[in-house]
Amino acid sequence: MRFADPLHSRRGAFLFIALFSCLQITIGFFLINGNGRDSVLSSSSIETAQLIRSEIIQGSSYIADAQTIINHGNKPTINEDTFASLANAIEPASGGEGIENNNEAELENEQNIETKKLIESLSTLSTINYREK
Amino acid sequence: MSYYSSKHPGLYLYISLVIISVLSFLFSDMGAAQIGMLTIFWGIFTALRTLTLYEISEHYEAYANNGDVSKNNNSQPSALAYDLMHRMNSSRNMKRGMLALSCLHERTILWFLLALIYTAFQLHTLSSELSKSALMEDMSIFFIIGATFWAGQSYAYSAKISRMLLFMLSTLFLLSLSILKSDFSFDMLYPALSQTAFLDFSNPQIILVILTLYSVAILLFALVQNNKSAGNIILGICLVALLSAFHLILEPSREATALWISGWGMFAIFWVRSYGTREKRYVLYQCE
Repeated sequence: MRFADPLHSRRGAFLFIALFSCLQITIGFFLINGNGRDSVLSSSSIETAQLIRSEIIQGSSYIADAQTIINHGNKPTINEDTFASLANAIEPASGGEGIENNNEAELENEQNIETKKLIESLSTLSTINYREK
Repeated sequence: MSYYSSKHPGLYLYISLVIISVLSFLFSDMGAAQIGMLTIFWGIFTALRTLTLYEISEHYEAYANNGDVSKNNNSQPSALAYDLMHRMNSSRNMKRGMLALSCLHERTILWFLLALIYTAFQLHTLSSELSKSALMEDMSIFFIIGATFWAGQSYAYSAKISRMLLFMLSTLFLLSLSILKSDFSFDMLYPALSQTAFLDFSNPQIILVILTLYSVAILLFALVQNNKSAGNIILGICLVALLSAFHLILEPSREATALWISGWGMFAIFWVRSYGTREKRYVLYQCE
């Protein structure tokens, strides 16, 4: 029996395809193991990381202000504008978008009131220290 | 997965892999790990299919010399009937194998070389924007599309299997189109078809244009040679034109990969069936 196109001599093509398959299997293992994952962070991970970073920076600035006030009794860096913006920032979200549970909302309001009291006492303390000097 | 122990070695595995790949890209949020898993499956399948075809090519020499059955068993009673049956069965299997080996023809190898250049060109262009992991993901996606195209050619050895593959792949193609119909943007079509775009050799799409023109030229040449496959050839030309247009107007996304897998898998059937060899059946019953 005769075949029009004997292909038995194409060992190079076989070898190339087999090697390419092996290379792709290796790449597949790399992808599964997460190697080279330098920009594969999901958007939610990036947002969370940015939120944590901003919170840390904000918190450290407050701590620095408080330490400055307590240790040296200087004029407080928390002026009226800062205090107003801070109070606005910690106001509970209106519109009912984020808080659905009433118990959680009450708890958050209590925490906000406590925070406001703390900031007020801090500013009062710093004012007293400043007057004493 | 030996060729002689299975009627259609790896066919159902190929169909399963195509369905899983298309549905995964359409309905699942594909991350790096999922693409890596699919790449491993396709890599193992391609390596096994290569081994099967290599086995066929190695058996060709012995089979072309009429095999060893006739010489060893001619002295036994009923040797003629046994010999005829054996030769008919092995002839059918070997014919399928030889048609499957058409996926390694020179015209297909050149097609893959152009596709490799297109892939390398596109990855080189994107290398400054994407990370190493994203480049590996893109390379894996190109490999899955190429493996679907190559293995689809190796299974289109009979009209029945070709019809079955065409039905499955066209269903997946239409499903992908119905899901992706909102992603088509005709704004990119006119700049891509302008004269300046064709002369811009820094654009990777120029290789895609060459690949499409090469495919159409090969199919038209087949039409001149063999008028009996005119239906396959014309459908193949229409499909490659449609896929090229989709490349221009469809935004690249993970879901679009499902369209390329099913579309280029369909084109593989038309591509290889355009050169279907027809041989005389009476040579099967010749006696020595």
